[in-house]
Amino acid sequence: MTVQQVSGWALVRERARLSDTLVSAAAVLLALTSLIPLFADLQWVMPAVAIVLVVAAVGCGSRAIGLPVPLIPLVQLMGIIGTITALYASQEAYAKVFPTSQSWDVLRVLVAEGMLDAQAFSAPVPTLPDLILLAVGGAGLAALCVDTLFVSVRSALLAGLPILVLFVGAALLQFGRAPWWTFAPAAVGWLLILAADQRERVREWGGVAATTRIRGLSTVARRVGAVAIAVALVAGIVLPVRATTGPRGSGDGAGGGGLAGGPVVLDPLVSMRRNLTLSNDAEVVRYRTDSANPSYLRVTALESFDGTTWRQRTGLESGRDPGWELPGVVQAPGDGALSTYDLSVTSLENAFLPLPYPIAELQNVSGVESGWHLDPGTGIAFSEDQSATGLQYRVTAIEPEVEAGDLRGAPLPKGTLWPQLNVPGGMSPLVKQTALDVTADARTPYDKALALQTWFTRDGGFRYSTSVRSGSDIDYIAEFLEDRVGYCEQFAGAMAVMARTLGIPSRVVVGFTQGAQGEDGSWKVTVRDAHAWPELWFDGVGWVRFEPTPRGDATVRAPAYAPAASTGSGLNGDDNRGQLDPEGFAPVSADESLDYRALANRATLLIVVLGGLVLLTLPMLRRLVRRRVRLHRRDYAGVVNGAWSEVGASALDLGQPWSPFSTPRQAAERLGRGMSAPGGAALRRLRIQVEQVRYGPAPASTEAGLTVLRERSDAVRADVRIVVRELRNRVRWQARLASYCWPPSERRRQRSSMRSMNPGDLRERVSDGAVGAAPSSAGRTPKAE
Amino acid sequence: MTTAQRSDAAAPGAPAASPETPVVASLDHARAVMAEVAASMSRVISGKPEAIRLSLVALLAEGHLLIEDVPGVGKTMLAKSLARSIDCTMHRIQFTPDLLPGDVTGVSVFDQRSSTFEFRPGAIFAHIVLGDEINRASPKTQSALLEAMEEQQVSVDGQTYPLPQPFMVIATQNPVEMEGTYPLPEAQRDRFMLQISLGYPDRSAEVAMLDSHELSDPLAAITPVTDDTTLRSLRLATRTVFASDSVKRYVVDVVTATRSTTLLRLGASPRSSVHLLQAAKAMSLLSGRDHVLPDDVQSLAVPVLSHRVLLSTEAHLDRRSAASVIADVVSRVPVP
Repeated sequence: MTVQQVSGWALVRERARLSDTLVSAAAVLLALTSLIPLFADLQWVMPAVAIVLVVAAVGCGSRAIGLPVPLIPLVQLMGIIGTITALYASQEAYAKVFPTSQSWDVLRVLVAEGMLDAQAFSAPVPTLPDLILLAVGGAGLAALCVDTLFVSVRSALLAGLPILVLFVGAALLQFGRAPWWTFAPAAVGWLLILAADQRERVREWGGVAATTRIRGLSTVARRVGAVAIAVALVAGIVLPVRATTGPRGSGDGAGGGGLAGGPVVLDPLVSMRRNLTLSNDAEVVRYRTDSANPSYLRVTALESFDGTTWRQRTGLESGRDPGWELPGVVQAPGDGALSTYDLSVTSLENAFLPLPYPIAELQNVSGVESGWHLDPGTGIAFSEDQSATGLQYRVTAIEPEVEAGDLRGAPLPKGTLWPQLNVPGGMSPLVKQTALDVTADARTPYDKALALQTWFTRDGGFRYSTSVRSGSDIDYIAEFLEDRVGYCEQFAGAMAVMARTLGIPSRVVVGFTQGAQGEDGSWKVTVRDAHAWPELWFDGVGWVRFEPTPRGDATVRAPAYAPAASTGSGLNGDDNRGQLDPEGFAPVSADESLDYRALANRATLLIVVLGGLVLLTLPMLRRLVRRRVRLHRRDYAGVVNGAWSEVGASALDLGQPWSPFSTPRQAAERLGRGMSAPGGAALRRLRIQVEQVRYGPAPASTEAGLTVLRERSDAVRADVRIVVRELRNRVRWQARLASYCWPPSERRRQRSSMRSMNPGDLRERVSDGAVGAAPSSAGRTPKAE
Repeated sequence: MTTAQRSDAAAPGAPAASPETPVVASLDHARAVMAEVAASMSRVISGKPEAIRLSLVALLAEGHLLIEDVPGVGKTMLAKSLARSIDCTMHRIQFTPDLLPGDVTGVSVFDQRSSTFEFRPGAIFAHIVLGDEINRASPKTQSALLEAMEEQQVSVDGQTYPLPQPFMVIATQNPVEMEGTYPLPEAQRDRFMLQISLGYPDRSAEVAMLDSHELSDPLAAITPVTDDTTLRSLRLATRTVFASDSVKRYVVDVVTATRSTTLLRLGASPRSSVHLLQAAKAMSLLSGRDHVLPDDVQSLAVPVLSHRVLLSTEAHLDRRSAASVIADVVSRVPVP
């Protein structure tokens, strides 16, 4: 009759568990496809898939060893952290996986960078390691949530939430410009979960005979799901929707140099703030020079301003204007003293060479054969495809001998065709008005520029802070002039635009300050020396650097021809707060801090190891305790029922057939197949006792004395030992060992206790309780057989 | 047309046959007697031990048996072999559309000599009544049988006549889809404790049957192995079989579960709970056990319940049988 169904039940259940985990992972993987349009290429996919699989595997493993349900997400989180550590901070980690404080630092910095980059870039973003880390971490957390909500909490509906978050988040980051198809895979993923849930439910109810219904239901689900997705896709295309453009997307077509939709040109400005906020002092360039007052190192000059971003000149961007081949003499030495710079680029991924300005000659480029050009108009050396890292070169620079008097005599340039004079439309009148107000007293262009610089550095009450968002679009510049808080990008952009409104050609230059001179005389430039400044054109003199940024440290040097206003008001007060002072953060000496860190690391390792051990032995300990409790209850009925539960638990542990839905007789019949004669006899004696205790009549009197009772209980325990030994002998030693260490019976118990949280699953809870026997028969002693 | 056959023993015409107080049979005795009956029956019905066992369950549990199957698989043989194995009266009623209720229960005939109405007992006055093709009779006649089955007595012209004890109806019916049948109403099906179907015998059993029928009628070879007095004491013993509270709750759970599943339009009645427990007790007695196990209940759930329930449209669409639905329901009820 139903024997077959009942026996098959437990197996079906196990498979359903594993398949649930797989379905969760598959759903998350499908949802991850909505991130594809976010990134410029697919480098992020492999680590993201890996972490989803790690979460699934860890989930499976933890359930297999019977971890308590609340601990499973924690273990999965540890898996995520371990994977991320292995991927991004393996150098600093124990065994490449266990995080140390150093690896935490690395990860923290990466995450901080990622957050900044995520704000700075618009989709599709380049696959920088920090951004990949964010995507991978997000994928891991989503997988964890889905797995927990679906497999542990058994709520298919809630499990859709993380998927929804993943998808909606990706869509929002694209400012509503997500491709039309992106939601479909996420929806299919959720439908997978719903279908699996449905199948599970039907299986629970119908037993084997319900297979036809399973098929019918999932067909319906598939059809409904497919129709819903199709309708949603068609409706999204057909229905009139108010055209929405991203807040920053409007400018792309106007002045972007024809690059809209193409591969992203890395905006040199956006990485600025992140460099400035970093606490580490990664070296970018090291150089030696005979100049007493080294020039700033320019990386690129941004001459075209479309209202949204500053860009290089169109010809430069697209490589149509090759300029001069490098290395070589690029410019005959003109007036002014010459100084030599021996530069060595330690790490700079951009395809630009950091150069002083103006330069007369560039030579001895080592490490690269060709492909580097110099644009004489901007003084920018660039390559189309190579990064500057590792290059070494010698530059002969001209020490600018610019006198304030020369500048003061320079008139405004003739004509309005200068691209460096272009002021984008739609700019707030406040910008020009402010420029006019500030320069009201100045008569010459130079005085006006100087007035602007003074206003920015002293009189305007500006505060230097990197805790604002990046950007220098026209709206933000107007905002910046109101708030007066920002960093070099805003100062440079604002001053350049204001100069343009006054008729002075201007451009924004991105590069590094001169850096700090070491004891050996070489100059070291770190990422924290990244800087942006305006250059203004003066007829007869050329492009002249100004320094409007009131940066508190000594790295910023105003040029001699445009001296900084006397320091005082704006520089020493609140301004320093926005900056990071690496030394200010080290209250203890270096040695002490090292010891402390090593200790902390050792403690972490110890905790991890101990925690792991406890987690591993937890099921075993619990199993042993439960066995003891089961076999040593006070009354005989309790002992018999406990003995039966123990036999069942041992059978489950050893992978033998045992189902909570069979009667003692059915269970014994299945378990006893192939048992030896003494084992079978012991099992039969146990079965008779259980039947007698549970279903038999109460004995007329409790004439059995304590000793008789004890003897009987001992006999029962002896039978249990015989049966369990017999069961153990059936399986190989590996299974035996596994049954000791990770008893599946504990897993089943804990699963059923978890299931009882779900009101729909009354059945298993009741059945589990049934192992403990009927209350009415408790306390009885059996009749003598 | 009535074709009421009289078997060897005369029908008891007297209204009240005073039953002597039977002794409660012991467990071993009961088991031994029933094993003999089963052995005797299996000489005629070969290869169907389960059907024999279930018919004995109905006999011990004071229930009536409904055998539903296609013609010619031995329904009548089963009933006859059971009756012959017990030394008691047995009548056979062939139900036809024109059978009248009086043919079943009996009529009062005016005796001119005594100028009184004299009751002529119908075919139902026997220990074992075989109602052949019961679903071919008109509902009116069916309901006459019904009353007798339930009340264990017959009322004619205001006079009540008790039926002999033990009294058991074994009705056979063809599957309802067949021509010329009136399906039994639910109320009437509910009064049968068990419904079984014999099914076709397997190859070897059918060959054995050919052998046994070759020379003589195997029924003729059957001799009674017990009598009605013993049977009464066995029935009493059945009632005394112990059923623990947990088993009783299990019975109720099983029956209640048939009322909540969506696959059934009509679940089993409370009467079926009584029948199920009673049958389970009989099954325990047949196994020589003094208490009921959930296994007894499980093994009897389908024969006791499946003929009382009505499948829902959903179940019909899924081509489920009542038996498979009941089996599913039972497998979902936790065992105490």
